[in-house]
Amino acid sequence: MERGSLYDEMFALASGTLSPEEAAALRQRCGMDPELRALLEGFLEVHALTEGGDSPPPACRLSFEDVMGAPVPQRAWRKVLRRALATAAAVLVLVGTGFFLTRAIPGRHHRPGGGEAGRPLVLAAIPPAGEAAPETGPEIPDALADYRPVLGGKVQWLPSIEAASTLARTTSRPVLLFLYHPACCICTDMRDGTFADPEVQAKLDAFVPALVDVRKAPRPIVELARQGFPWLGALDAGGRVIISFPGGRGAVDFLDRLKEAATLAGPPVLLWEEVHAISRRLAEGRADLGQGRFAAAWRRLEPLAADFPGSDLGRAAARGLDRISAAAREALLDAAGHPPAEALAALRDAGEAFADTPFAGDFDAVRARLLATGRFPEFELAAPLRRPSGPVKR
Amino acid sequence: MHELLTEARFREIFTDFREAVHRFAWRLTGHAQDAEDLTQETFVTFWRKRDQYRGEGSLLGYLRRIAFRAYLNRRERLSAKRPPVALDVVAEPAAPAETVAESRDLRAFLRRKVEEALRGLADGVRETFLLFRYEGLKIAEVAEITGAPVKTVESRLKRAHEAVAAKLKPYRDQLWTR
Repeated sequence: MERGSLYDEMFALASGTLSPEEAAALRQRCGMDPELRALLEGFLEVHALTEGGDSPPPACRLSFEDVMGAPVPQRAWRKVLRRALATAAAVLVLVGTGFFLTRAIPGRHHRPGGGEAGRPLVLAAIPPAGEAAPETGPEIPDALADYRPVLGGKVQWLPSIEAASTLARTTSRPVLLFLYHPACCICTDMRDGTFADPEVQAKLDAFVPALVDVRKAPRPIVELARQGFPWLGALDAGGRVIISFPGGRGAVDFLDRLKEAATLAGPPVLLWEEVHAISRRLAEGRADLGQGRFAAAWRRLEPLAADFPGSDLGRAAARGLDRISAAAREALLDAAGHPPAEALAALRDAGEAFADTPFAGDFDAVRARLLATGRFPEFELAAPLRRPSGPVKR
Repeated sequence: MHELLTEARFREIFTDFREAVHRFAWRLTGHAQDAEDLTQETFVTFWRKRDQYRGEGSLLGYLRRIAFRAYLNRRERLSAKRPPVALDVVAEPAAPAETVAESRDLRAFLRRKVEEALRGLADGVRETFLLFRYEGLKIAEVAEITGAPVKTVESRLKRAHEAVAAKLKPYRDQLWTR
């Protein structure tokens, strides 16, 4: 028999396809090692238990003509492109129809006064009222700007599964859950011994470690501890167990488990340094926004929203951009409510405040028309800004 | 290969491998319509990309890899059809609500219990067990099809065995006495 994995050999043994000599050799080999013996016994038992546990497949009704006549599957990006083109065409038709109607039926569409030769000013970027996205979405923890799983040789344990899950989702890492009981000596030994090992600490970079007292844990988490203390395992941000390895372990053994968990979870999308840089930039952008420095806020937030559209960090930046566009709209409508001289000053101020944003050109255009005609022009507000969406990119 | 792969040859390949690919798709999806759709997608992809097949290795293995990739693309949608997964996949199960003695059909009973146990496994672990145990693939073949290292496949298999054993433990003694 061709020598492959031990599992292949055990399967052959269970299926009865090994020769008596090969079967005896395998049993003898496993018999000498308690771990192998337990593995073989467990394997044979499961093999026997699952015998007949398989449903036979139904008859396949697929014909060759079905295959040749099937539509050619499209690549995802082609579908997206086709959808985008269709949407763009629909928008063009709608805009064209709207433009025709606004030209054909005077007096029903503009505000607040008549424009140059009755032609409304079409603004490029400022969105209509009520179109900005609401201020919802996960809050980005302030601690993210300088958080590291290990700092100064000490593991920075998060005290609750909720806090760890938020951080895990934001940084696309699994939670490393350490469920303990205060009366458990092994738990204490492991926390102070195994987790003090430099190699273990280095591997923790790929996780968000959470040290949770089982007495204070939510019910689904408490259930995990039925297997005993300490309970350790990797969970995804949704609380689903990726892999568990309960029981006290030394550094060498635990490191292997950590590596296995990291492999199963996949590599983190962002390094901690990148997470820190992004969250700092996000915090600075939000501070600018809070103080009315719209241009600076836009410069900080726009690249984040474009580069990390699928992550919480990117979505938080996008919400900041929505707030800036809402502020631009408010500034424009506010200026429209003033006499021409005051409106000119308000538009100039707004143009400066929103310099380097897509809205600056709109303020300049309105101001130029106001200067030329002496009246605040009629205008149409554009559709909301489109932002890219898709997976997080490195 | 693509110069030789005429429609007539493709028809022969379809005839020869249709059942095997369908069985493979059935193992993965556990659903008749999904299995048929996956089989169709596999052969359509093979025909569309026939110039990429170099004729190295077994053709069935190549078709299985295409099928598995197609399965991964639609796994989320398929998962949504399955009942939710338990959080503690290897936790001690509750006392059996149904006993072997109460079940008239031992095979159906077993099938149900094994399916329940497999449904609770994480993605990747479940497929590994199915391909190894019921499709009869070797570890190296499972690794090649799923694109995972051999050690990872073995680790997944170990986890699957532990979970299935835990799930079927309450019924084990009853089964032995039958």
